[in-house]
Amino acid sequence: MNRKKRIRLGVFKYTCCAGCEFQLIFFQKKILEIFENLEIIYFRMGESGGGEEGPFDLVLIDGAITEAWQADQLKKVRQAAKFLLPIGSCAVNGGIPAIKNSTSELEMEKRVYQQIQPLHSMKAHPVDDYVKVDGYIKGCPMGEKDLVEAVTSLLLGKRANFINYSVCVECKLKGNLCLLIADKLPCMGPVTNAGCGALCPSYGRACYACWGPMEDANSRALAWQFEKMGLEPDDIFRKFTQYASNKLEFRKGAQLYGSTT
Amino acid sequence: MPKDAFVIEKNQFSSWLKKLQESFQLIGPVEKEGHFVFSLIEEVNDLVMDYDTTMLGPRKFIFLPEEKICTIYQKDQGFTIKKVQDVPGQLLIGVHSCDLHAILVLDKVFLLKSFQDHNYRLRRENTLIMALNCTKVCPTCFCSSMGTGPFVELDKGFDFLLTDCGESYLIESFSEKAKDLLLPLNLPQADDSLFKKKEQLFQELKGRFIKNLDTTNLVQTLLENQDHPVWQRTAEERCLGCTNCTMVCPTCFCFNVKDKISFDLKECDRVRYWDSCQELHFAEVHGANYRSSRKARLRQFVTHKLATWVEQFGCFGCIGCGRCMYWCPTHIDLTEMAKEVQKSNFKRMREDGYA
Ligand code: SF4
Ligand code: SF4
Ligand code: SF4
Ligand code: SF4
Ligand code: SF4
Repeated sequence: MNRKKRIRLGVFKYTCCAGCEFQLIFFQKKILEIFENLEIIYFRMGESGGGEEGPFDLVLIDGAITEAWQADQLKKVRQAAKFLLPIGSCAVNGGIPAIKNSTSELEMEKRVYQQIQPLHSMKAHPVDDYVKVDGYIKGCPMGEKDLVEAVTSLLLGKRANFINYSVCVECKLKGNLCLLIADKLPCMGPVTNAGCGALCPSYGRACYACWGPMEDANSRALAWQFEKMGLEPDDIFRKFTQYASNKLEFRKGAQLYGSTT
Repeated sequence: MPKDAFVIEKNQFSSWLKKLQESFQLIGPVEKEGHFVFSLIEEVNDLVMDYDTTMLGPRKFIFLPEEKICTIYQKDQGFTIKKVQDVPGQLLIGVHSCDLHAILVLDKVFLLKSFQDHNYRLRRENTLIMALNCTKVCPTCFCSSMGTGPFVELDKGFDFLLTDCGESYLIESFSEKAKDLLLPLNLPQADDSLFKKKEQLFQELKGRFIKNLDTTNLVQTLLENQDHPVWQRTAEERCLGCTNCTMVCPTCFCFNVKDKISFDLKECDRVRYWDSCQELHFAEVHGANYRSSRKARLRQFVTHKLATWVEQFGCFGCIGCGRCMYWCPTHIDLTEMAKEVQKSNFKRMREDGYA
């Protein structure tokens, strides 16, 4: 097959720890071949300069939307992009920044800062609350497999087949003894999107849902099960608001045990 | 009394296995974190022959959780395909009656007259099975209801059968290969008294089952009650769509295929991995998803195992091992659902004017 034109890439960062961008830089060293197919147009953390205006074949968005200017820019970027994918839990689900969503802004700001006048942060939202997206590269930080799938699919001109089942699938394929049953640990694996290779359960730790919910997750039923297992309401609430408090799939579990506002 | 039946002291059994280790990969039950798992045996002494049950059955050594089907190479003109060719010979030790039946069910699925699954056939042909009659019954076991245990009553499809008689095993052979492997041991023939003892153990064990399922008219009853409220209620209140039930079920055969393509687009590994009808996208085809509700997916699991399988393969898809309900995070029990349908057969009640 003839080598196609290189993919024009843009990477935009909003409210997050920048871990996903570091992950991208890490992949650049690790899976070099993938970057031979990419032409970087805009990627502040990787290279200075670059044009925000595009046009782009592929845009990756890192971070949650918590300020008005971010939403404005995001909409412009969307228009300049053929494909736009949120990367990592903050952009996909609201992520860690969205923990604050179930508390008032005033209380949150006062808890962290002495001077709150200069702050203009608002509630945290995932990227797809503002623009149409062409898929999700989930993970905290984003997963390698889905990124590879996105790029190879673009090269082949096929629809990407992203991972969209529960962590339990990967956990079982690995043959791990289930911690929820064998050790009575409150594992979030049954409602969490796979992709990490069941990382935590493989090391004897219950999944805490850092990849966010899988589609159609039945959080209510898992929350009830946690209650039966003796978890306190506050702990159950935190489990479902730690990584994706924005997502309806998790709100359904959280709502029974606290106010998600 | 079958004539290929011998007595083997447990010590001698172990040293024989050590010998067999030179020609086969030995696979059997070992202890892991307070549970038992089938695993590759390095040390014969690690085998725990009086294990109760395992999370994953020996299925995982014949129908692998994840395996390569072939590699596809792009050439200037067209492409070439390389299939998987070499697999090691293996001996599965201590396979309980339910799991033996499960493998024979999978044989029906993968080794059809009209189509034989290449990878499955390759591994199956290179696998010897040493079955083991059970000595314990778990609270979740109901093989006696499904006609698949607790003792093996088959005479083909496997190689050896062990019955624990205290200091020794009664060992019976059911294939030419097995006979050949036993021959050099010059074991004493098993006599009548041993078979009496075997029968006695069998009868004793049969009386210990806690869980039961009445299979009379079960297929028809389930098929008539596709809209029974038990499906929706259980799906809503308890089912997580997590797939654990089907992942641990020893007869589930569904798999998904994915391509791992090199970045120069010249080489592609075609890989398959266990898939599950409990997963939202399982029944997705172009433009539609035939089981987009969790209710429909849960019902598919139960009715496939206990009803539609019969028409498809001529036997139940459930061999009564109890794994699905034990490893389900909310302990959903397909026998309880079936019983609820049997108790309140809505189709019949409607016809009789009650519902
Ligand atoms: S340990 Fe967690 S992720 Fe693994 S199977 Fe159990 S519930 Fe699922
Ligand atoms: S197991 Fe859960 S918490 Fe751990 S990396 Fe995977 S998704 Fe995140
Ligand atoms: S294991 Fe239980 S909760 Fe999970 S899909 Fe199966 S029946 Fe539903
Ligand atoms: S349906 Fe459940 S009880 Fe029946 S064979 Fe499968 S795992 Fe065992
Ligand atoms: S129960 Fe589901 S996963 Fe298992 S064989 Fe049937 S359709 Fe496949």
